[in-house]
Formats: sequence, C-alpha cells, structure tokens
Amino acid sequence: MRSTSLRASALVAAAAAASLLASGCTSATDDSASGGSSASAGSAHSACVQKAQAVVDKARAPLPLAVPTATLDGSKMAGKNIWVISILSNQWTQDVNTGLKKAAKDLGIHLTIFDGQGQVDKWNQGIEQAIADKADGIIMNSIDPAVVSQAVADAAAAHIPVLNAMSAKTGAPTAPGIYANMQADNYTDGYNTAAWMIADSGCKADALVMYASGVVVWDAQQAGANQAFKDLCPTTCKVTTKVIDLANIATDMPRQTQTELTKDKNIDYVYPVQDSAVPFIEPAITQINPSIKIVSRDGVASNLDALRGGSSLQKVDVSMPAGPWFGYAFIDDISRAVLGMAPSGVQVPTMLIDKSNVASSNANLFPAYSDYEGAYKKVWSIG
Amino acid sequence: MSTSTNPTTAAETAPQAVEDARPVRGFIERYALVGLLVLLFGVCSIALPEFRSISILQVMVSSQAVVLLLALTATIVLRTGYFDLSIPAIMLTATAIIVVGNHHGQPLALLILIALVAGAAVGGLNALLIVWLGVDSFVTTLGVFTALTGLTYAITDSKVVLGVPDALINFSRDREFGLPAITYYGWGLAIVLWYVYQRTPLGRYMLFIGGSPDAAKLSGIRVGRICTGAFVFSGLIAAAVGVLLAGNLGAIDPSIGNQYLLAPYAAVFLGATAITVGRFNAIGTVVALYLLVVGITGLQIAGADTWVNNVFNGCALIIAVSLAKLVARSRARG
Repeated sequence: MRSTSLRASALVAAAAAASLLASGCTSATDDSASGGSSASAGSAHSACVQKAQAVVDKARAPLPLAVPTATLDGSKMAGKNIWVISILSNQWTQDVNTGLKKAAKDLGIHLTIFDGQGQVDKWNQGIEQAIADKADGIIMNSIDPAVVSQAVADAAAAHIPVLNAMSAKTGAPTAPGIYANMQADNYTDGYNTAAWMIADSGCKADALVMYASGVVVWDAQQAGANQAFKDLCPTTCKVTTKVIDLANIATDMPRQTQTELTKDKNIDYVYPVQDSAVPFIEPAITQINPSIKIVSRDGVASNLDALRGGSSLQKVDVSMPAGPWFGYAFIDDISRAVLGMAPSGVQVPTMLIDKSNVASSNANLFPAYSDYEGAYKKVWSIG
Repeated sequence: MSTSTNPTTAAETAPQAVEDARPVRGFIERYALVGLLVLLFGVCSIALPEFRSISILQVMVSSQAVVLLLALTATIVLRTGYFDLSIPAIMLTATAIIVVGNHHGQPLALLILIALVAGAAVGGLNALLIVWLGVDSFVTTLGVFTALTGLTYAITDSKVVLGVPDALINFSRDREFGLPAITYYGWGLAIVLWYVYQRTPLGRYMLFIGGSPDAAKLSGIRVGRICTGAFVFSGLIAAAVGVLLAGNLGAIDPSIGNQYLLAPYAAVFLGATAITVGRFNAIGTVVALYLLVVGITGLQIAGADTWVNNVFNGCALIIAVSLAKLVARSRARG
C-alpha cells in the first residue's frame, strides 16, 4: 500500500513538473495591464477608422429622456390590480422594482411583485396566480414568452393584457397573447461595441465574442457585433464567436476563454456580452495576456466603477438608464393596455460608455433622466 | 450517533481496496484512470497542434483550481460516510464576507477571521444535526446550502460587488512558473489530505467509519468526535477556499453557488475509481479532475459545441463508475 501511494504521488509530481516549465514570476496587480494593445496610431485616419469612429461617436452621445409623447389619464388607473412577474431577484430587477413601486404609488395602483427565482415553473405559477387574483394587467420582466406560452394564453383568455418587457428582439412581432414588447436594441448595442473595438484598434481588431445561445438579447448582440465587423472591417479584423454554457459560467467560462486565447494569441478584445461575466474572465485573461481589453454591456454599477477607476481590463460598457426608470416605463405601457390604448412605442435607450464619457459617478451618467418621474407624471396628467 | 444515507461510496460501487493477490490486475485497476489521462493527453497532443503548448497545459491546470480545492474538501466528509453539499455555499458566503466587508472598510485580517470562524461554525451546525441528532446528511446539507445561498444574497444585497485588497489578490493570483498561487494551494491540500488519509490512524479511522460506523464504534473508535471534526474541518477549509476565491475573482457574484455544486462531486466520485480504488482519495480526485479538463479542453480546441462538454463529463463519470462496478463483480466471482 505504501509503495502504491508513493508511486501515485510521484506520478502527480511528474505531471506537475511538466506543467511548470514556464515563464517566471509576475504580480497579479501589475500595472502592465494598462500598457495595452491598441492603437489608433498609424491607420487612425483611414476610412475604416473614420467609419467606425463615426458609429462610436453617435453611440456615445448623451441619452435624451425617453418618455411617451401620447398622454393618458392616470386617474383611471387608481385601484387597478397589476402584477409583475420578475425573472429573478438581482441588483437590476431590484432597482426596477423600486421604480415600479413608486410609479404604482403615484397612480394608486395595487401592485404585486412575484419573484420568479430564475425558474420556469415559478414564472408560470406567477402568471397563473395573477390570473386567479383577477389582475388587470401583467408585466413580465425579462421572461421569454415562449417558455410561458400556456400561462400567457390563459391570461389572454381571461382578457388580461401582458407586457413583455426586456425579452424580445427589437422590431420582432409580439408573441400570441402579448400586448407589446418593450426592449432595448441589443443588436445595435453589439454593433456599436464592435465599432469601438475596430476604431480603438486602428482597424486591426482580433476579437473574441462569447455568448449563451438561446438568450434572445445576447444572440442579438453577437449578431450585431459580427455584422459590424463585416460592414466596417471586413479584411483586416478578425472575430471569433464562441457559445458558452450559461449554467456553468463561473466554472466553464474562464477555461473556455483561456483556451481560445491560447489558440489565437493575437486576440486583443474579449466581448462577453454581459457585465456579470467580467469578474469570471478577467483573472483568466490577466493570466494569459493582461493587455487584452474587455468590452461588455449592461451598465452594472460595479463594472462602471471599475471602468472609471481604470484598474479593470474592461474598457467599454453599454448602459441603459438607471433601473427605477424602467419601473415608470413598464407601468406606463401596462396602463395603456389596461385603458385600451395603443402601446407607447418607447424603446429603451442605451449609451456606449468608455473613459471619455463615464462621468464622475454613476448618478451623473444620464443628466436628462434627473427628473424622469416628473416627466411621466405629466404624461399621466397627474403632475 | 446514528448512521445516515451513505454516499455511493466505493464500498458500494467499486471494488474494495484490499491488497489483491493478483498484483498486475490490481495495478491496472489502480492506474487505469491515470493511463486514460496520459492516453487522452497524448491523443489530443497528436491530433491538435494547438494542444502542444505549455500555455494550454497551464490553462488546463490553473482554470480548475477552485473546483479542485472544493473537490478535495468534499472528500473529507465523504470518507466518513456522509455527504456535505453545503461546502460551495460556505465558500461563497466566506467570499461575500470578505468582499462586502472590504467594501465597508473593514480590515482584511478581521474579515478572514470572521469568514473562517463562520465556516467552521456552519460545519459544527452540520455535525450537530447530522452526527448527533441523526438527520440525513444529504437533506441537511442541501438545506444548509440553500439557506446559505440566500444569506449570501442578503450579505451582498443581491448585487455583484467588486473590490478586494491587492494583498489578497496577489496571494491568490501571483504566478510562479506561469501558474497562479491558488493552483499550488490545491496541490498542497491534495498532498496534506493524501498524507492524512494514507499515512495516519485518523485517515484509516475515517475510512473505517465510512464503511461501517457501528463496527467502528464497537472497535472503540470515537465515531462521533471524528465525524464532528470532519464536518468542522470541511467547513473551515471551504471558507478558506472562499477567501482564495475572493482574491481570485476580486469580486462576489451571489448567483454562482450552484455552479460549484456538481463539478467537484463528479471529480470526487470519478477519483474513487483510481489510485486507491473504492475509496474517496485525494490523488485520485486530482487525476479525475484533470482527466475531465483534458477531455473538455481537447473538445473545445477541436471546435466541439458547448453541449458536448456536458455530455463528456456525464459519460466519463458513468463509464468510470460502471467499469468499477464490473471489476468489483469480477473480483467477487474470484
């Protein structure tokens, strides 16, 4: 038995030794991360760069306040029973819920928020509970109508309008039983982000795009990014697109990132399409090549703080307005449904953010939104 | 102390680790998984040019450091015949304590102390419920896992929180020979556990208890005390892994706990079919984990779709355990 164990340990030691043929010591917080790939030098004035830069400049423009132009009589919503089925509880949905509660209070709406806990059966349960409670309207926050189609059909049969918030491709027709889609333009967000990479690299970007298939908005983002490379930099840039396993993002994505970076040592941009993935891939990227830049989306506060601080590999984010604004926008659209009006047509605006426009704090990112509550109250004729 | 739902130990699914009268056959059984690892690595190296690099070797080893640490931690309680599914949640709670506490300006040393004490305390709670009150270990630790996951959301206010002192980041990420420090901690834990399991009376007592707690008790082994110690130590080590995870990620995302639940156990159960066949063991766990990662990395380099990874993981585990069962039957027939 003793010899068996010794042989086993010797084997492991041998394997370890084989893997230790390498490159000396480095510090994880080495500032070399800021040394960077980039460069706009050289081809900065090329037509390619100019085209990409034009897209970036437009995407970086300050956001105008998005409110409907058509007014509604908010007093008619007093006492209405509105349910919100939220995909799960996280920072963003909590911020949205804050806005939903304030907007509901402004209009005298009886509001119920159901936490779907990330589970399809819970989402269905929430919708069915809303129907049983004789809801006047249902807001689905970030839930794909396809996976709750029967419950949505039940709501339609009970003449309860359902708003599909944040789970549709821009311009896509509404699913059966759905009153309206409210959505950001994730395709354009992906396009703009790719344009930033192209401009920043002087039209020499070698990008890795990683996304989970089956998530409508991420699929749109990667499609937009790929289209931008085709349109703006078809010959001198390279893009590799990899599908990741969303269920194992913490354990699988770092390895897959490192594998791709090892296969193509020229990759200088990684686009994981969501801010939440950045903490998982950043250490993995740092280990391989700390000059690689991460570009992402969502405008999560901690990511924006890191971008602002300059210590992160993340150099670009795409942000929507603060979460509470969504609460007012969702309540506005479901109110229009309850009152028999046409959808507001409001599209969730987004802004590309890099060091040039990250502002001094997250609270100052969208000055036009400093009084969105007052603007909505005017639209609802209660202000 | 009462017995609990025994994990599907080697005792049930794999041949007993008795010294075999047929040394060649015993050798093959012990090192089949190692041979498979070498074979797989060789095939990938021949078939895939990108595979023939030191950097890909470093990637494979370093990317699994946290999973390796958790898998090794899982063997501690499994060896005594119980499950401890709470360790990923203990880890994440410890990470949350470090990151959120740092966010509020608390000193790192104090936060590490709190995290470790909390981990040991949860282990103690597990032991109280399972070892002394006789509640089923699978159900109890699954409940603790769920409760701690919720607690982590509460600590972080359901947010991703960034920010860890550089000292801790460097402690976890600093590289020697191209590998981050956390990888060496995993190997260090493997060596310590190998020594305890194979070279100390405590390791043999744990195995004895795992095989038959009643017989162990009759033999004079302090079963309750050893099992309690196993749970407390498991909680303590899981919390220490959480401290390292905080340094490795530099952040806490409260939603990732369940992603660390299955992968470590897959490695542990697969590892029970190697080295000391039929027993949860440290070196076998290391070999099994690297076998899985070599296979998956090879598939990724070859351009396989993501779903193939899950199929590979699942099939590797099923095939290994099935082969072990066949060997056990063959032995029983003589």
